[in-house]
This record gives sequence, structure tokens and C-alpha cells, in this order.
Amino acid sequence: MLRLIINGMPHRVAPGTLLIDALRLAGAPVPQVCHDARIAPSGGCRLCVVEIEGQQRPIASCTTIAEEGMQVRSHTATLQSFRKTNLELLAEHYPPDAVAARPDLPFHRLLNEFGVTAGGSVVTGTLFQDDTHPYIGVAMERCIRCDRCIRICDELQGQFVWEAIGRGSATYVAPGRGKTMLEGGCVSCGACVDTCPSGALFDKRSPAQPSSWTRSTCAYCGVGCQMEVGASAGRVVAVRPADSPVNRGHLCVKGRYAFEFNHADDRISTPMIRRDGAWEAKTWDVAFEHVATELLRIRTMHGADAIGVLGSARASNEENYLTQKFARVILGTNNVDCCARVCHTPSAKALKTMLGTGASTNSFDDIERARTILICGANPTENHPVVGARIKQAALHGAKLIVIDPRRTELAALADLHLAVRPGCNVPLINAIAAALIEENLVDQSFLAERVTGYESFVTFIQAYRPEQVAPECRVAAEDIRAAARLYSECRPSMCFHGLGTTEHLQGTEGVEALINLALLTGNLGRPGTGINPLRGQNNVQGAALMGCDPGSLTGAQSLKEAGPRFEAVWGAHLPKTHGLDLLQMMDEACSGRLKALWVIGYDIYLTLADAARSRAALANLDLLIIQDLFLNQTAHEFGTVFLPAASAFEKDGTFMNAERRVQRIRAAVAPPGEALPDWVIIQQLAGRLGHADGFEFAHPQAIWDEVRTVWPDVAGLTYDRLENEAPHWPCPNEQHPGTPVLHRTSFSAEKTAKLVPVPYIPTSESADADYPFLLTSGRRLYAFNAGTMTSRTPNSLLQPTDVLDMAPADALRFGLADGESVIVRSRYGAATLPLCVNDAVAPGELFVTFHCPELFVNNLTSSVRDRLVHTPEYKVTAVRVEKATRI
Amino acid sequence: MLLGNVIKGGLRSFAAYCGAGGGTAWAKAQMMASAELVGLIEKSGLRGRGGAGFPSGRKWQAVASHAGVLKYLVVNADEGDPGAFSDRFLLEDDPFRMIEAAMIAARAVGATQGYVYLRKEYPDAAGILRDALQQAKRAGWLGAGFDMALVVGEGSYVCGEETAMLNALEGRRPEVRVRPPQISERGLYGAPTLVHNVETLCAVPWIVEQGADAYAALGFSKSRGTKLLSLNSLFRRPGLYEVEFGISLADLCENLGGGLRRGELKGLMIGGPLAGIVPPDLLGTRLGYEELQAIGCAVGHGGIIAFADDTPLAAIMSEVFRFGAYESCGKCTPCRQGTPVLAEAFKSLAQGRRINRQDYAALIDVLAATSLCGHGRGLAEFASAVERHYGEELASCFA
Repeated sequence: MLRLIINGMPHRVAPGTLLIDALRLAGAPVPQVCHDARIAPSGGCRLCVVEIEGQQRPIASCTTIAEEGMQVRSHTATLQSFRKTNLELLAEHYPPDAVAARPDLPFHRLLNEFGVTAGGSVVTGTLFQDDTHPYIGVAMERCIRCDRCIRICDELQGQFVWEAIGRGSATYVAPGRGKTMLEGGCVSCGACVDTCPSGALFDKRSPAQPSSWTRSTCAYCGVGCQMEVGASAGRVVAVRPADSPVNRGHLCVKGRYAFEFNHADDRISTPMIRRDGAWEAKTWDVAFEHVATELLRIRTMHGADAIGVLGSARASNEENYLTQKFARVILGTNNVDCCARVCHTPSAKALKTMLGTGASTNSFDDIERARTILICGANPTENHPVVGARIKQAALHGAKLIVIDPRRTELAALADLHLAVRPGCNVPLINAIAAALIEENLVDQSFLAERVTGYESFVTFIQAYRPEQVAPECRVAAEDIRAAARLYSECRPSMCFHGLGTTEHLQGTEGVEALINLALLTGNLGRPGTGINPLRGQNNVQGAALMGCDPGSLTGAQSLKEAGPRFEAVWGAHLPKTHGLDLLQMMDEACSGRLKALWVIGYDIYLTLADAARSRAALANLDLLIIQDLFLNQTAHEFGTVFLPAASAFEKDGTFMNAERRVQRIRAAVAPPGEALPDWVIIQQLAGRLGHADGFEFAHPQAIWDEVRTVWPDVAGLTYDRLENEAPHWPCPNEQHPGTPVLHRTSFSAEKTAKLVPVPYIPTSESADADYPFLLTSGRRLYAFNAGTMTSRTPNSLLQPTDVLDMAPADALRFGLADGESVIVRSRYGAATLPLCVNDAVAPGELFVTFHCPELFVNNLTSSVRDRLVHTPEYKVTAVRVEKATRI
Repeated sequence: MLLGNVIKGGLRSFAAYCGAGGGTAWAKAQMMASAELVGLIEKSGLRGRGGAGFPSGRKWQAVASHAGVLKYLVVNADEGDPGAFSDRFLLEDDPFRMIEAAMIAARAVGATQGYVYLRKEYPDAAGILRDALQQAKRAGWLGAGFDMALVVGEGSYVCGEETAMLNALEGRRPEVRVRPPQISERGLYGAPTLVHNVETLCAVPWIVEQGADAYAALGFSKSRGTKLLSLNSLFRRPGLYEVEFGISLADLCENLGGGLRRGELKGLMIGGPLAGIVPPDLLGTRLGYEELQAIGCAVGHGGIIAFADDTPLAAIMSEVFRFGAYESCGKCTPCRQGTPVLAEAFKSLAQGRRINRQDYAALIDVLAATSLCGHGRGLAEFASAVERHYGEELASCFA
């Protein structure tokens, strides 16, 4: 610790502390308007100047690092007078009504504190105006040129929207490109609004000052950003970022702005039962009685395995734990799964099989430690925007970036190497990188010797995948494949992120295995800045599966066979003896009439499952389809027989698990509407109805989590008390354990060594031919989330009004199609009509589409092909043709 | 020492430059180790001629001591001080001297890439430099080991401040950077960078040829060697002069400049508007960094603007603050917001208004004490010098 004298009193601070922070810690905070801990100090406002013994002039404390023995005076009359003069200068042309309206804003507080009156003579001539953004308001007459918006856009988000234009006092802030923020490249993250000290940039839709702020975890993607939820009169009215190691005070447009779905007009707040096609509102009592009776009837008539249960990526760990416990203990079936099945079960399977733990090996904090980042089939700047921004910043700061993606995504455009692989060719491409590593002797011999087995046979196997050999099939130049191998191996540590572009294939699990091979060959595992890291799509999809919503394993991915007896002891019940069905098998069994009932929690399966025709056949065949959700989603709308209204993540307590193995709290910020109840309460009550209250009586989610801690040793150390202040990565076996940000440091989870897995390439049956000349791939876009259930009920729908079909300019020309015109896409499975977007981010012969809009129903197109090992649908490759939509 | 080739009418071809003895220093420098070159400059007593007067040898030492593989050399040719035109002559009439000097400096500190940042207002110099750099490349001076490119500015005075210039070179808004880190440690694109003004650099070949002692033998006090001075048109003999440090200001005005064309001398603005004004009763002061600083003025870049007694002080103040406000980069509050207020106040004197003395003093104090860089601070120093030497006339501006 350093010793300094502040205003005559000795103080101690850590080396490297900024003087401005040292002053705050010493109880002598100095005023400032241009400083924000999230960005580099700029020293522009000159309000934080202090006197340092031995210095000729006052020094800005925001740009000065505390030094041993420094003697600092922070509030002398001279300094206060300088501050007042500078504030007067800033306020000379400032609108007084702005100060009166929002006295809480930092700049206004200072004016009032120093008794400075805003001058009022506002000059608006050249000021930037923009009323086109649904969320971000602009009132540049309040701009005091602190440049925080410019700097935070550059340094935190990496979008470079704002610029200071002009010189001297005529300088003004405006987008450097385009007439509006959105034209100027804005991604609506709101960081500029968040940092603005004077309300020159403001949240249009949050006029009310929240009466409470509640810290919670974002309910969108699997990054797990920490945020504070502002509530007023029982409604969520604002969200602001919280400081945490995950998001470092940043949020994206979804987390920060897209919360209004919570109070949408069509939110269902009463239980309903469908009779003769029409929904009827019921009391909970009637609804529970009906569900209990029906479930018992079906179980009696058809057996427990005629019932399936789907947990939810949107529900908490505690709720998913109860879901699978309910299925296994009360219903007596292992037929329990969740939407991890359609996204990252391949990752979990591959990582578990090869390395022993089916989750990310490293943490997001390693993004800044990696020298090379490999991204395979993921588009983080749109789908995991806060992590995407961190990767972008890392690349801007010199990290090497390799992107494997058929499309030129934002990160691909920024990458050192973009391997624009043909959809479906991940395995041969990744194998070719492995072949190049071996051929060019880029492998880590000592890591191989110590930690890896199966090298000899792998070397023999991989001969068939030399870059030159597979390059034409993959549509990637052999030299680029070799360059990727060199970067990944030579510029270490190298960190790999992958997404659904890797997993949603016939060879999804095997694609991940092929990536793990690369990490094993180069020693990019078990160290900071390395690893294989699936970017989980939904807030708690990892938690849902790991809580045991998986037919083949119990909580913590523990095997039914080995851990079963332990669970039976804790639960005081026998586990079902039969194998459980996964989600896709449930659909098959429903088609064939053997599955009679399905309880679906927080998951619109009909809209989101591939091959919608088959989903229709399956769902229409069920006797009982219970939908538990916020909204009457497409599954409920078309096929539901019972609807149970659930509380949202804003309305309940619990925990989510993010993509890097952190368990983080969610907390109720508002009460659920009407009669809606948290999922855990619904499950609990239904358990009581079925005469099994015992084992389901929990006063609070904390008590459920405590039971999870007893059955899953890896989270035993993560008490709610601890989670108040920290979010350690599991494994965290006891309360003293610091958590495990990096897995496999000296040994893999199961054993010391891991085995290389030869992955032979098996082409998908979805290939282009004369009838279906295009390969269609799918994904998400920034403003919309998944099926759009949440985002479509927010002004995000103004920013991304519809799904569109992206087509390369050359193809549009060839087929005589124009940007914006409506086209019919036909696959071997179905058809969909979409507006065309001519876009050179896609390669000729390929198309890209999102599936956010129920009315367009893109999953009518997707195929019945599934992952060979875990049945994840192959959403990423469908052969299609495109026709002009005929005018009516 | 510096103007030999300029006096001859200029040497703009590589062959002519070499024919006149150019290149001898480079040949000699190639035989010398980096440390030897750094030591030579240190011993010569050469100081930065751009205005700050920082010892050049210490800069070289600082950049040379960094082990980094990538280092830059930047030639500051953004000669923006009103009344200064010495670099323009050096660039237009003796471009190869600057190039030769840059090569020697680059060799000494280990820089592999150089940039000349030239002000937009010197289009002739730009053409000549472009051509000279081409010739130097063809001759093998520039290329593999060290290369140099010309970058023409966009017309901002503050780019003469070296950190603002580095931002401009990087394509950023030319605002002053906070120091530390010093640019010898983290300069252009974050790499160790040696920045020199044209005139400073042009002294290097002579020092290498003639030795540090010969250079240090010239000048006086802590100001060694020679200085270029640009005399304005009020002198009977305006133009560019190379003088030894130590010459008295009176000597300079009378014997070099030949006195004024009209009126009595009211004062000398030396080293640009941010330095100060020397009144006639201090003309006995000798030209030297510390000597001018002692009377609240500065050598600066050596521009000398004489004012006659027909120029009212208010007009000078009004013009200096107008210039200051226009050229403020806009980053810090006192300079961005304060200088236009001062400019407006002095301008309004013409309409018969008077300035509130307390408000004026508060603005000058905050400008002096809290400005981010030498621009705002320099304006305040100018105001202090005026108050000190022309207090009575200034008083008439106040209410």
C-alpha cells in the first residue's frame, strides 16, 4: 500500500490507484464531469484539479496516479474558486429549466452545490438533433463537451458513432457518419446515455424516476450481465448496468432497453383451460385440479413415460431443479428435457466426453488475456453483445482474430482471418486446421506428452484432411486454413468461442469435438486465455440442463447410474427405471401416439423447433399440453389445452447460471401481474395436488438452492450469502473455495489426460441440387431475441421490424430479385414468404434468415436432420429455392 | 550553420545537396554507434527549437533506451506561431538537410518509420518535400532501414503541440493527450517516439560533422548554438536571421532589423502570441531560454513581431484571444469556454464597453492554473506579461 497525505491526514491506497479515487476513498471526493471509471481518463473538465506539494500548478486528479508520499490538498479556497469559475463557464449557455427538471443529474448537482446559475443563452444553431431513435433521446443544448459519449462508444462498445466536430467553443458532438445515430452505426447499447452527466443524451422511455432499484441478472442471453432494475408503481421503468466482472458496467440494447414486454397488454395473468377450442379463464384451484386429474389419468392409462416435461432456459436454477425432481419423483419418468437440446447439448456432450466437464473451460475475463481469439459459428456482437464488444475491443487492442462463419459478420469483417466455410463443412475445415498443425509441427509437444493420448492414431487419421485436399469442399483457401493453424498455435494463448453455427448440425457434437482436438494439440487448455467456450444462447439454458432437465443425467450432469442412489437418499424416493426421452424423441413419440401429455415451461416449441410440419403432427396428437408462460405463445395458441400464467424474471427470486459457469442472483423488482405465479410456486402447488407436498415444501428459492448444493458437490460452496457479493465460477466445493475460473489446469476433470477423437466427416443430406440450389442458414439479429417473444413486445420491434432473407447481390441479379421485394422460399419440408434483403455479407449460393417473427414461421423450412449423437436439429443447413412472390 | 544552403538560393535536388557537402554527416553517423550519437547530441547542449527548449540529448536517450522493435520519429513541421517562418525556409530550400538529420536521429534512437507532419498552409513546402523524399528513396537514403512519409495537416494550430500532432497522425481528433506517459515512452500508436521540430533536427548534421564541442562553443549560458529568428515587416530589414544565443534584444532590433519603419517601438512579441510582450525598457535582455523566461517571456519558435506605438494594447489583446479561442482544441473547459469570453470582452472595448476586472482576473487565473496544455496556459502567461509590463494601459480597459 502507498501512503499519502490528503488534506493533512495520512491515507493508504493500493498502488496504481488514480488520485481521484484515492480522494473519494479518503472521504474528500472532488467534483468532475468528464470521468467514468469504465473509460480512460481524459482530464478535460478540469474540475477535479488538486494541489500537490512540489507541483507548480494544480493537477487533474483523474489523470494522476497516486504516488508514495504525495501530499495533496483537495478543497482549498483557491481550488474551489477555480471549480466555480469553470462551472460558470460550462453553464454560460446552459438551459436553466434542464437543471430544475432533473436536479439529480451529476452536472446539475454540481451547479447547485456551487451556487452557479445556468446562463440560459442557449445557442442551438449547429447542434445535432435526432428524434428517430425509439430509446435514445437527444438534447444537445445540454451538452457540456465532456466527451464521455464519444469515449464510451469508442472504448466500451467499439462502435465509434459519436465525434466531436468543429473547433474551440464551436465544437459540437454528433455522429461522424450519417444524419442520425442509427445511420451513424449506433447499436443502441445506451452506454452514452448511461455516462452522460447532463442529460444531453437521455432515455426517452424512462421519464419517471424509479422509486426503487433492484440488482438482478439480465434475462436475455447467456452472458449474464448484472443490472439494476428500476421500478415505479409496480412496473419496470428503467434498467441500468451494474458493475460486475461479467459486464463491467455495460449492457446491450436488449438488456438495457427491451423490458417493456413485462407489462405488455397481452401478458396472461389468469390460468386458462381450453374447451372446444376456446380458452376459458379459471381459478388456480380449478386449473391445478384439472391438471392433476389429467396427469393421473394419463399415467394410470398409459404409464408415466407417456408424459413429458420441458424445463425452461428462462426459469431459474431452482425452478428447473424442481421441474426435473417433479418429473422423476412425482410423475415417475425421466422424460424431462429443455431447450439446451436444440442449442448447446452438443457442446456439453463433447466437452463432458472428452474433458470431463460439459461447460465452458474458461471465463470471459480471459478475453483480454488471449492473444488469439478463434470464433467458430458464433456472431457475438449481435447475439452476445457485451461479450462481443469485449472481443471487439480485444481485437482493436491487437489480439488476433480468426472467424469461421459462412457470413461476413461484424467480427469477421474485423478479423485477421475470415474462413467463410460452406454451411455444413465445419468438421472437414477444423480437421484441416488440425492436419496443418501436425504437418507444420505446430503442436505443443510437451502438452501432448503430459496431457494427451491417442496422438499416434490421430496423426494417421488426419492425413486425409490436408488443407489442400478439403479446401474446395469447404470453400476456404488452403493457405488461409494453414494461416489459421499458425495463428492459433503460435500466437498463444488462444481462446476459442463457438456458437450454434458449430452445434446445430448433423455433426454438431462432433464439430465441438474437432475444436477440442485443436485445443489439445496446441496446449490451449487449462491456462488463462485459452479453452473451448460455448457462448450459451439464453440466460439460463446452461442452468436448466445442469439442474437435471436432461433425460440422461441428474443435477450437475451426474449420471443416473452412479449418482442415482445418492439422489434417492436425499429425495426419499426411487428414481424411474426406464430411459427418458429427449425433446426430439418426445416429439417422435407424440407423433406415434405413445406420448400423451407434455408440460412445457417457458418455451415456444412449435415456433422454434425445426421441421414445423412434424411439430404440428406431434403436438396435435397430444391429449394434454400444458403451457406455462408469460404469453399465449404459438404452441399454446395452436395446440395448448391448459395455460398456466408464470411470473417473469423481473418478478421472482432465484439464480441463473451464465455461460462461464457463474451462478448469479435474480431478485424480484416488481410483483407478478394478476394471478401469475413464479414457476417454482406453480410446481410446488401442483406437487401438493398430486399428494406429494413432501419434498417440495420450500419457503423460498434459497431453500431449493440449498438442496441443490447438497446433491451437486461442485456448487456446495455457493451459498446465497456468498452470492450477495460475488459470483464465483463452479466448481466451488466449499464456502472457502475461491471458485474455478479456469478448468483443467493440471488434470482433466475425470483423469489426468484427454484423448484426441478422430472425427470423420459425414456430409449432411441437406445439399443443394437443381431443384433447391441455395443453402439456407439461420441465426439471430441484434435487436430481436430468439422467437421474439420478449423483443417483439418492445420498441426493439421498431429497430428490427421483420425477419428478412439475406441474399448475395450476384444471386439477386441472377434471379432478377430486388431488395425489399417479397419472395417465397421453399425447402423439401415447407415454405415461407419473406422480404428479401440484398446483402453482401452472405456468399453467393447461400442465404441467411432469422426466426424472430411468428407470422413468417421460418421453421416451416428447416429440415428433419438431427445431430447424430444428441438429436439437436440441423437448423444451420437447409437446401432451398427462392421464387418471386406472385402479386395478388 | 543552418542557413548556408538557403542563402545559396536553395538546394532542392539530391545531387546538388551532396555536391555542396550534404551527406557527409550521414556517412560519419553510419560509422558511429547509437550511444555515441546520443552522447554527441547530449554534449552539444542542443535544445528543442520548437518552443519548449527541452534538451535534445535527453529525448534521444529516453527513446533509445526503450527496447521496443517499433519506434517512430516524427518531424514537427507544423510551424503555426504567427510571425514565424524559419522552418518554411529550411523545408523549401534545404529539404535534404532535414532528411539527413532525420536519418541520423532515427539511427541513434532505433526508429524505423518517420513522418513529417507539415502544416496545410505551406503547399510549396509540401510539393518540395514530396519530391525530396522521392529522391532520397531513389538514392537509397530512405527505404529498408528507415523510411519517411509526408503527412499534411488540416489547419489546426494546436497540432504544433506534439501530442495533438500524434493524435492527428493517427487520424484522431487533434486534442492534447494527458502526460504521463511521455511520448518517448508511448507516442505514436503507443510506441516510443522521438518528436523534433524542423529547426532542431537541422542542427544535427552540423553537430555530427563539426563535433559537439564546436556547437557548444557557440551561444551562452544554458542556450548553446544558434537560433533562427523571423523578423516581421515592421522592421526596416524584415526576414530570417540566424543568430548566436546571447545577442541582446536591442542589438537584434537595431543592428539586424535596422529599427522600425514607422513610430516608436511599443514592444516585441517573441516566440508567438502565447509567450508575452517585451517592453522597450527590457531590450537589454539577452536572447536565451532562461533569460527571457525571467522577464515573463519566452524564446518560443523565434518569431519576432514588433509593435509600434500606434497599435493600441486592446487591439493586440483582442487579436491574441481571438486567435487563442479559434485555435483551442476544445478539450478542456477553461480554454474552450474561457478564451472566447476574453476575446469578446476585448473586442467589445471598441464599442465603448469596459471589462470587469474581477471577472477578468478570475478567468486568467483559471486559464493559468487549470488549462490542460500550454495553449490556455500560454494565453494566460501572455496576459500576465501584459499586466506586468503594460499595467497602466491595461487598466484603461477595465470598468
